[in-house]
Amino acid sequence: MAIRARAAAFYRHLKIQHKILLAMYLVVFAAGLVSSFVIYYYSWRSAQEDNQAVYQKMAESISGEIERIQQDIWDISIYMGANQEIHRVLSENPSKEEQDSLFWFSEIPVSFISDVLSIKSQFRTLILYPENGMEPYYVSRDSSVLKRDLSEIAGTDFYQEAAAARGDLVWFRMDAGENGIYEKNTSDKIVGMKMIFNMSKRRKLGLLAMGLDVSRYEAVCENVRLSGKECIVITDQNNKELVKVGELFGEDFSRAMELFPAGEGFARSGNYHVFGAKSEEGGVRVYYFSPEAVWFQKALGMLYVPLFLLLSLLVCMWPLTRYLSGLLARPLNELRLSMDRFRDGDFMQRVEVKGEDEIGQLAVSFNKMAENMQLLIDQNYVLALKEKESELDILQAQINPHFLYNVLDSLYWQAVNMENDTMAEEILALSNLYRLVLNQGQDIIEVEKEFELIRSYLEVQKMRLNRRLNYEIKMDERILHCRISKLLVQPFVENAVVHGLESSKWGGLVKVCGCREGDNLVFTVEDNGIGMQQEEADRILEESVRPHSDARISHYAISNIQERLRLHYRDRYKLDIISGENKGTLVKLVIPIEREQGKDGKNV
Amino acid sequence: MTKRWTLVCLAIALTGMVTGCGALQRQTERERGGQAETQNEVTLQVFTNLPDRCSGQGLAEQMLFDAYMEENPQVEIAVEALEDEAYKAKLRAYISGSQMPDLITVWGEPEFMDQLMEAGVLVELNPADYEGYGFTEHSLDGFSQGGRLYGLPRNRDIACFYYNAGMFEEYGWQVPETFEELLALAGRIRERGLIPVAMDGLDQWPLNIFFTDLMQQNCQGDLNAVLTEALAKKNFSDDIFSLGMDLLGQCTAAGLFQDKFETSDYSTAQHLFLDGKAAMFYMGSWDMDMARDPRIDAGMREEIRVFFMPPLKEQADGSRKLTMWHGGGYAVTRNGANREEALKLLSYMMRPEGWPWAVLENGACISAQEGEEPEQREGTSLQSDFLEALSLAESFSGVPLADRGDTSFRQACLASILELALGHITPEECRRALSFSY
Repeated sequence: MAIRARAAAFYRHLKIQHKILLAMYLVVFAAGLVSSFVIYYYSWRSAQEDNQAVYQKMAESISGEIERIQQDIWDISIYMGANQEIHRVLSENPSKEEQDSLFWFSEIPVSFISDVLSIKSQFRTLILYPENGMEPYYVSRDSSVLKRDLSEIAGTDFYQEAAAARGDLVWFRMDAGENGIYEKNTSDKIVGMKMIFNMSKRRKLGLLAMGLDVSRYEAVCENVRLSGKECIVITDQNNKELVKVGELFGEDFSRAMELFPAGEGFARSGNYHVFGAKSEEGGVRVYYFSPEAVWFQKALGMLYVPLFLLLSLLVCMWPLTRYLSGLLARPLNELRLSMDRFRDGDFMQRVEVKGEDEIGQLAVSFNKMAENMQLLIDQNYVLALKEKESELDILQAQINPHFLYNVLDSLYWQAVNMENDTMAEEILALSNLYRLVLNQGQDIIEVEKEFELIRSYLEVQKMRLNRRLNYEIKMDERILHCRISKLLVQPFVENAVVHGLESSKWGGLVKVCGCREGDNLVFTVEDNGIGMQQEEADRILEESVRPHSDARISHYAISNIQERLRLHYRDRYKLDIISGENKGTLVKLVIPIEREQGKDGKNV
Repeated sequence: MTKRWTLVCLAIALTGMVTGCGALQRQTERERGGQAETQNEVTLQVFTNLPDRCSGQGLAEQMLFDAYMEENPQVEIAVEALEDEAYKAKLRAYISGSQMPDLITVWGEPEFMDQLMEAGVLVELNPADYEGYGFTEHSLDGFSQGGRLYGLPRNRDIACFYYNAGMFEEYGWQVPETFEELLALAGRIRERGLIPVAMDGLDQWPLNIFFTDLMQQNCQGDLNAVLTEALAKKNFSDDIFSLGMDLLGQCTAAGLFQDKFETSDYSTAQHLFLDGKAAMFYMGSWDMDMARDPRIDAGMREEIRVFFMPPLKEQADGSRKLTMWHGGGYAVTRNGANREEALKLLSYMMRPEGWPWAVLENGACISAQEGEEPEQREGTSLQSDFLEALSLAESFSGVPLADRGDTSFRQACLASILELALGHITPEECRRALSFSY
C-alpha cells in the first residue's frame, strides 16, 4: 500500500510531458515485451525442431560415414569368403599344403588384398585362421602381433559370437594392450569378425578378423560433434559399445538405450537429448547425446537478439518520444503560463492557437475567457468607479451649489463691509474651492484648472494652519491647456498637508510643480513633513494597485487615482512615491500628453 | 544538452543492434560448426613411412614438424603414416592420381628411386641450398640421377644383430666373432628351447639384407663393385654369390631362425625378441630406438646390445666391414599443392640442427649427415656402438642386392633368396632366377 501511495504521489508530481513519455514507454515496452516473447517462443520452437532435425541428420551422417568405413571390411570379407582359391585352401586336406609354408603367396592372390589394405589407411590388421589347422594368413600395419594359433581363439567369446552370426560380421572393441586375438596390440581397434562357412553352412572353414583404427571412428564423431559437452556412442547392433567420444554425466547409457527399441529416432533420457541412427549394412548404431545445458545455451543465445533489439528500440525512441511529447505538452505549458500571468493581473494575455485539436480549442476558450474577463473587469471596475462618481455626484447634488455660492457670497460681502479683508479672502478661497471641485460634473479638465483647485485648497488650509503651512506652486505655462483627469494631483497635495505636515508641530513646506518633459507631463508634490519609511510608501503604491482594496481613505484616493490612471492611460503612466521618515515625501506623476487645447478651443 | 543525449541514445541503440546481430551471426556460425580458413593458411600433406610417432624416427620427425608449425603459425602439417610395404603400395596409388602429398619418404635404392626420378614425380633440388648440411660422401648418390638431385637422405642403415645381453650373461653365451661361432651359439640357444635369431621372413627384404651381409663379411674385394658388375652383366656366377648362398643354407639348416620364419612379419619377429623368446633379432640400425621406446619393458631396454655379422674364421683378417647403405630420405613432389612451402620444410628439417640432432637426441638412428654434435648429447649406448662401428669400418656394402635392380629383379631376388633359405631351390636355380629376372 505504501508503495502504491508513493507511486501515486510520484505520478502526480510528474510533468505532463513526463507522464506522456512514461505512458509511451510503458506501452512500447509492454508491446515490445509481448511481441518479443511471442517471436522468441515461436522462433525457439522452430529452432528446436530445426535443431532436432539437424542433430538427427548428424547422427545419420555419422552412421553413414561409419558404414562407408566398414564397407571396405564388408567387401573384403565377401571377397575372401567367396574367392575360390581361398575357399580351396580352407576346404582341402591340410597335409598337402603344409609342405609349402608360402602357399598363401604362391597360390592365393593375397597381394591384391595386401595392396587394398595398404591403400585403405583405416585398416590395421587382417588375419584369416583356417579351421583345417593351416598357417593363418595375416597382415599387420601397426606393428601389432596376432595370435597364430586358432586354438587360442576358439574358446573366446569373439569366436563364439562370430560363429553364432552364421556368416554375418560381428564387431568388437579391442584396445591397445589388450589381447583378444593379439599377442601384442599396439593401438585401439574395432575388429570385425566373420566366420566363413561352406555353402551349406554346416562346416566352419575359417575365421576372418579385420582390425580398423578406432581413431578413424573418433575422427568422424569429432568432425560432427558441436560441443565438447556432447557425447557420441557407436555400438554394434546389440547395443554393445564400440566407440565413445565425450563423456556422459549422470546418465546411464544402457538405460538410455532402452528408449530406442528400433535403434533410431529421438528421445529424452535424463538430462540429455538423444538422437539415434542405425546402419543396417554397417551393422552399427549411433547415439548422439546432447545435454540439456547445450540446448539451454542455444535457447538462451536466441534470447539475446530480441532483448538487444528491444533495448535498442527503447533507447532509440527516446528522442522521438521526447519530441512528440513536447509537441503535446508545450502548448499546455504555454497555456498554463498565460493563465498565471492573467491571474497576476495581465488581462492582455492571449495564447496562440496552433491547431484545431482539443488543445487548440482550449486555447480558443482561454482567449475568449480572457477577453470576457477583461471586459467584465473593465466594465465592473468602471462601474465601481462610476458608482463612486455617483456617490460623489450624489454628494455634490446634496450640496446645492447655488445655495453654497449664495451663502459664501453673502459672507464675503459681510466681511468686506466689516473691513475684514483676511476673512473676505478666505471666504473667497473656499468659494473658489467648492466651485472648482464641483466643476459642473466635468471629468476632464485643463491643467490650469487643476492647479487653480490646488491653489484654492492650499489657501483654505493656510487659513486653518496659518504659519504651519507654507506652499509653493510652479507650473510650466506650456502645459496650462493640457487636459488631464480631474483630481489627479490635488489628492496628493491633500495627503502632503494632512499626513505630512498637519501632524508636525512645526508644520512645513509643500511644493507643487508641473512641467513638460518631452511628450510627457510631469507633476511633483513634495513636502518636508514627517514622511514615512520607503517600504511603507511602496506598500501604499502596491496596495493601491489592487482593486477594491479595503485600505484607508488615503489609500482609497491613491487607488482611485491608480485605477483612473490605468483605465485612462493603460501602462503609459508612471507614479512614484519617495519618502523617508522625518525626511518628507515626494510624489512624482508622469503622464503622456494627450491633447492640448489652444485659447481658441481648438486642439494643438 | 538534448542533442547530446539524442546522439548518445542513437549511439547506444546502434551499438546494441550491431552487437545483437553480430551475436546472432556468430551463433549461427557456431551451430553450423564451420570456421572458414583464413586466406593465408597452408596445409602441408606429408606422407611418411614412420607410423610410430611415439618413439624413434617417427618421434624425431613429429618433433621437427611441431617445431616448424610453431615457428610458422600459418602452416598446418597433416601427416599420413604407413609402414614400409603399405607405404609403397599407397604411394603407387597416389602417383596414379593427380593429388600427391607435398613431402614424401623415399629410399635411395635404385629399385625405388629410379622409377620416381624417371617419371618426373619429384622436384629437382638445388645442391647449393644444402651446402654445409654435412651430407656424407656418396650419401646423395642414390637420390640423384644424371647429375640432378631429387631427394635428401635421412639416415645411414647398418645391418646388425640385436642381442639380449642379460640372457647371454645368464647362460654364459659369448658374442660370436666368427660365423662358425654364430652357428654353434645357435645350437646352444636351441638347447635352451629358445630361438637363436628372430627373422622377419614374411617381408623377405630382411633376409635379403642378411644374405648381402653374409657376402659383405666374406668378400675379399669390394662387394659394392661386385654387385654392381653382376647386375650390369646379369651374371651372378661370382664365387661370392655361391659362398653367400651356401652360408645362408647353413644358417637355416642350423636352425638359426625361428620355425616357419617365412611366415613371421617384422612385428612378430621383433616381438619374439622383446618377449624374451629369441636371443637375437636380425634387423638394422633403424631399430636402435628400442633402447628408448617406453612401450618396451625397461629391464629389456637396458639389455639390448648389438653386434655385427661375423665373418668366416678363414676370412677374419681383422678388417672391419659393414653392410651399410643410405636408405630412407625425403623428397618434394612435383604435383603437390604447396611445393614452395614443402621445400622450406625440407630445408628446415634437414638443417644440421634439425634431423641430425633430433635423431641423436632420441637415439633413433644414424643420420646421413656429419657435423658438430650438440654439447649435451644424450644418445644411447646402442647408438654409440653403431657410431663406433662406423668410425672403424673400412668397407661398406652399399645397397643390398635386391634393391639394386628394377622392380621385377627385386621381386625375383627376394623370392629366390627366401626359397633358397627354405631349401626349396638350389643355389643354381637361385642364380638362374636372378639372371633372368630382368
